[in-house]
Amino acid sequence: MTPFTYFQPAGLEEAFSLVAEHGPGTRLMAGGQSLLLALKERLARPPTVVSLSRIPELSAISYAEDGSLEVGAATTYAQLQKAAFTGWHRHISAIAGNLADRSVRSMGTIGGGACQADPRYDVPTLLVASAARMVIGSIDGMRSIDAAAFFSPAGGTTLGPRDILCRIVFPPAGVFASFGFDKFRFRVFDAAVVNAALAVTTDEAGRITIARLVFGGIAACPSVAGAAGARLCGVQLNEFASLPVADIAAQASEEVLPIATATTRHRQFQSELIKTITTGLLTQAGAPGG
Amino acid sequence: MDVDYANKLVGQSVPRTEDLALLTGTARYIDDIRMPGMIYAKVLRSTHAHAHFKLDVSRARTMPGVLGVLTGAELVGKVKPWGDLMQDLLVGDHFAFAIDKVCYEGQEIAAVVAETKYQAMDALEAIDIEYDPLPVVLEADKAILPDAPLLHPNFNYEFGEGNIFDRYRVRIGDIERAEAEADLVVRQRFSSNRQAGAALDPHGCVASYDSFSGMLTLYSSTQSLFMVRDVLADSLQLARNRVRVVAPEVGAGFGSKAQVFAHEVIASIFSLQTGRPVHLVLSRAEVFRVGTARNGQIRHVEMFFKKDGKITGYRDYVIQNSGGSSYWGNQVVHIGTNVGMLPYPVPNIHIDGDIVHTNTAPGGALRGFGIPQINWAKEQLMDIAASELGLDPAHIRDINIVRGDQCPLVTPFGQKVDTTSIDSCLAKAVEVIGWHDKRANKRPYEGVGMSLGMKYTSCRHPSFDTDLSAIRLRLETDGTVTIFSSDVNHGQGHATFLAQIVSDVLGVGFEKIVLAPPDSSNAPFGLGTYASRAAAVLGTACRMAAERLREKIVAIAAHVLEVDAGDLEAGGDRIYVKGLSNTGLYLENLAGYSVYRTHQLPPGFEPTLEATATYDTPTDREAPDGSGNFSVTYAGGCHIAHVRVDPGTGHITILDYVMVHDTGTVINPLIVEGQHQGGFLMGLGMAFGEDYVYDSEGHLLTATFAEYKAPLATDVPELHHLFEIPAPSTTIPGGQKGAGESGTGPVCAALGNAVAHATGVRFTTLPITADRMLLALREKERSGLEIFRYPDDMPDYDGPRGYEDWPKPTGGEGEMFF
Amino acid sequence: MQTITIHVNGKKVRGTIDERMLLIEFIRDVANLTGTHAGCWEARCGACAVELDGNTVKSCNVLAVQADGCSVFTVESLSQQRLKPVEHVTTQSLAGVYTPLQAIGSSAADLHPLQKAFHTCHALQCGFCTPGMLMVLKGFLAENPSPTREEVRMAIAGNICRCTGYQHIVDAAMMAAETLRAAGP
Ligand SMILES: Cc1cc2nc3c(=O)[nH]c(=O)nc-3n(C[C@H](O)[C@H](O)[C@H](O)COP(=O)(O)OP(=O)(O)OC[C@H]3O[C@@H](n4cnc5c(N)ncnc54)[C@H](O)[C@@H]3O)c2cc1C
Ligand code: FES
Ligand code: FES
Repeated sequence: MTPFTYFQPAGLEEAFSLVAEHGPGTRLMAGGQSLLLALKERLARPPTVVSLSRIPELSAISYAEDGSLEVGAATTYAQLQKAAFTGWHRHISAIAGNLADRSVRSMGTIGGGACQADPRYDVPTLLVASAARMVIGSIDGMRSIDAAAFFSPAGGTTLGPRDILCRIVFPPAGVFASFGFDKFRFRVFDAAVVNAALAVTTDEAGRITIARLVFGGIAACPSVAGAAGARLCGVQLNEFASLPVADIAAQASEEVLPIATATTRHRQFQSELIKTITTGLLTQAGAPGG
Repeated sequence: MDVDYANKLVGQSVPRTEDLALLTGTARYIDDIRMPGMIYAKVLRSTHAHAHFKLDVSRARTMPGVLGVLTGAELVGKVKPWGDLMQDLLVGDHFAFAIDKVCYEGQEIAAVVAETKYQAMDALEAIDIEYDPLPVVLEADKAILPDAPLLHPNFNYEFGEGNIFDRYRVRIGDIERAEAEADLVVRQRFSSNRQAGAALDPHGCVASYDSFSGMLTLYSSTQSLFMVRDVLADSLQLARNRVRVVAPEVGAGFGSKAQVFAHEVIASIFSLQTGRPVHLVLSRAEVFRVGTARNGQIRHVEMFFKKDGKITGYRDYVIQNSGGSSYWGNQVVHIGTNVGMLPYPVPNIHIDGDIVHTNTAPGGALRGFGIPQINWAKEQLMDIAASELGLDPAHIRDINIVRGDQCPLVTPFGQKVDTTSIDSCLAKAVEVIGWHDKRANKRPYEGVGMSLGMKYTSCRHPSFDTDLSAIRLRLETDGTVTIFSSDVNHGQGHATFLAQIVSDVLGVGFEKIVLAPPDSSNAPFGLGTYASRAAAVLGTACRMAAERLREKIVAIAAHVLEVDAGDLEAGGDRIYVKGLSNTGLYLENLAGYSVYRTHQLPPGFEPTLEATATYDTPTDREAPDGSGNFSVTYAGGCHIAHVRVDPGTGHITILDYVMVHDTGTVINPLIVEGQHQGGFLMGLGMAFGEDYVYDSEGHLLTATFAEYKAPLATDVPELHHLFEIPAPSTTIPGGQKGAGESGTGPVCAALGNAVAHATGVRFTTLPITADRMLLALREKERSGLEIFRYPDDMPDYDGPRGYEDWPKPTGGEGEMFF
Repeated sequence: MQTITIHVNGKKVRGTIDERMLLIEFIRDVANLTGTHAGCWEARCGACAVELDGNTVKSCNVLAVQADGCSVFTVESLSQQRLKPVEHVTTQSLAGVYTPLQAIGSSAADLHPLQKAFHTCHALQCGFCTPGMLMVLKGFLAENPSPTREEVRMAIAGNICRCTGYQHIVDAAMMAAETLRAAGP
């Protein structure tokens, strides 16, 4: 680590001004689980570090009037894992409880996971698939953007140097008729080789209106298999069995990772895994109670 | 007076005495040592695998807190190089720093010592270095090509040239005839991976020089006090009695700490220069890069069989990758190959080996020492032969192995197998796993595979004509006993099992026995703890010393009690007349006589109650044809794996794993069980995940625990099918055999065979990772073949023997992962 | 530099430290408790695990300033008496006459159930990973008093042990869970 000055603001406004005041070299620290790895290796050499861990409104979990779930950016994975969620929100708990290990989850935060924007990590995929809204604040005020616009196609986020991610707003528990998440990792403590989520909404007649199929680990930001997802629209969930599942999975794979570009063993492996995982997600979604 | 071993501690699972300090956090490992005035050293390491470099350290010298900077050039002619253990020759190819050229990433270039760690690290960044990169060679089979970049152009080797720094040769029987008369020849090129010991406690030391006494004390996380002391003293040209090496608690080594390291020399020089204690503990990345890794091997193996399955010959051309430098590298081929041939007494053997340097991490000793590599090749070829001959893999092994009732037996390769139960181990494992049923009723993507292995119990190294350990015991004046040994405990439970032996022989309470911390200034000379030698070799020295001490104690007791020594017995902390165990003399009284009341001693008795014993095993040097009995006795075992392969992801689940071992007489069953389970873990890591992956420029991509796939608790199957069938050694007085490594050797091949049975894919390269597995399955599906070798490497080849005649591997293995 | 206070094993420890100091360095070099080990400094091996305000964390991946005002428990907190006294150190001929153990107010029966189980099951070899294993398992068992063996394996998936093959560690965790259950909440 190189020397830095450390601030631990107690409120958001104070944090906004600290960031504005100390300029672009300033790094925010939520749980520090990713940032400290970089600091220790001297890969990041910030003169100033501003901690977000003692700002109460950043670690609160609450519900909006429409049932949307609002999660403070500095909410830890451990908190999320233990939260009493309902409906598809339970997947947030499950995902938070099945990444890294217990000790990392005590410190690591969902906002940190989002802002780290490592494509192999689970949070970006979750956010894009669920079409979460990202509430961002700075000394200039608050705004919110779609998760899909939060991740930059070149990697990283679209946050400005003075921005702080404040809240993540997930759609209400009843929004998705079906939600699924899966990943492959070599060891349970490893980042995923491929992770994937499938979020499905239906109309009153039970026909699929939206099927968002998102993969992580492939590109610098979450990859959406739009065409493969579109093939599911108009179908009833319980009719999935009649779909050419393997064919759709192959299409998804080709869409996000064209086989012609899969020249390394790692890429070929990912291409095969996408098919396997997609097949699993589709089968699961079609199963009763999926 | 004979010791009655019934009702004794030897053979019981006595919980370890060393545990309490480890469990409560009071144990001191190297990084826990705090000394007044201690300063911190850090090493600048090469970021290139092969390059000339120019250095300017002047800026670093002026940085805050900096007390010293060292480079290689300034040490030339002042510090002596040390080197590889060659056949009868030490080549001085190790030095504290690279001088003007680096041969592997991580090699020492310069070092800084400063008041604090941060200052030392800041100063490293102020060293200006300019590299002039050279072409790199990363693979053993490329390093031997005539146009390969040369690593060490200035060294002359006795048995090699270019990058080949040593050769290995075995000529037993008549291989041409075996080939001509064979009914079946099977052959395959097998390669094995590099693996790190990755002991959780990083390598490190604290050097402390006292300029008034001229004494250099080195606290080091090492497995071997005297190997470090002698090389360090020689390198610095200090008197050996003024170099003291002390091992604190050592957080494991697995072979990776069984040699001297540059950091030990560097810290010592800094301490000599500054007169202050110098702390130098490596980071995890440094340990991966320079803490030595298993030597990778490419084996071109051919085996000759008769129709009935009898092995008639073994021919092999080995190329071993020993990395940029290697202290133990060539020994691995010699010993691993010799012992690794067991349990088959093959009559005709023809082996050539080239041991080479590449621009990769130094090759070192690692649990198994060459055995896992040959086992991976040989035990898979056994399965291939069985399938060609229509025999059951268990049967083809059963008709070829050394059997218990043939022992003692001398094999054509020269091994003297005093006892074995490997035949019973095989039978037992077959029964426990339900072998015949699982073979007959195979389920899709499930399979069973086995491997047999025997393992040396310590070893006489061809370049190192010794195999000794020593113990000194002192009966203290309160009747307690202190054990002195230079063989460092680092997880094997020395304090416990040595105390078990001493307690039994002397009749002294187990809790009264203490193992003194390993310190070269007061411990008897021994080689160290490696090569499964603790229980057998050190244990034997301990038994001998205890028996000597008992003789002395009894002599005093006989004199004082005026009885015949033969009528006395030891037990309950006393010496008493047989049958009268409540009478007699306490050991504390006898010890008191021996030092405080010397007039009570028998006439001519030399006062004090101490005894020392050294045990050097009755083993052979290697003969010119490669034969010899290097090991005093042979442990062994049969492993059978039951696996399931997920055809969607390539993930392999071990459903069941049976290990049946012969460890001779077991001193402490619980410790031995732990050794086997830990040995298995190393084998599992080697089989399924651990690897040194380099990019094309020789940068190690797996130098962190994030990328280096050490098995986690969730990767290891339940290991409750663990059995012992003891065939007590008749050469070792107590009957024990080495336990440390028999768990490792057979694992890769057992898993490889199981995967082949499950999927029809026979891996010829390690490790078998999920990505390789899945892609192999897809390739096999496309090929339409029943049995698919991956990467497929000329199974049908039957030409001459030279390297050039073996085609290069195919199967998409060329490019790197990531 | 910044002055912080951390309650380590119930004791207030103050230090004026460089902001770069990690929690593990504070514990080892300011609080002088070296039972917490560093095996990787990269949040991978788990040897440095400690309890921070009731949660298990990897102390190599937390800044000391992050823990300012917090409460930390390390392996040293698990058993108060740090040395197991030998039952009869006194000279045999005077056995029973003097009772030095009572004089120093010590008894052997003071290991935490997890420590005792690790000892009984031989769940440690070199012992380097042990403090981290104990601290993670302590937190885990508090949340999951009746775990399965698989759950125990998941709980320690962030703790590397190179010696034991994990089998005896899982055995010990199960044994300790039983003892703790029997002892009641
Ligand atoms: C050993 C290890 C293994 C891991 N394995 C996995 C895994 O398998 N899967 C997985 O999904 N994750 C994994 N994680 C990553 C974990 O998800 C991230 O470390 C964590 O999400 C980062 O959270 P944090 O609060 O610690 O972030 P920090 O490290 O504090 O911050 C991360 C980055 O985000 C920035 N930042 C943080 N919060 C904000 C904010 N509110 N606004 C703006 N910028 C912000 C920081 O400046 C920094 O650049 C692993 C981490 C570790 C250490
Ligand atoms: S030292 Fe903290 S996890 Fe390894
Ligand atoms: S006991 Fe050595 S690492 Fe676990």
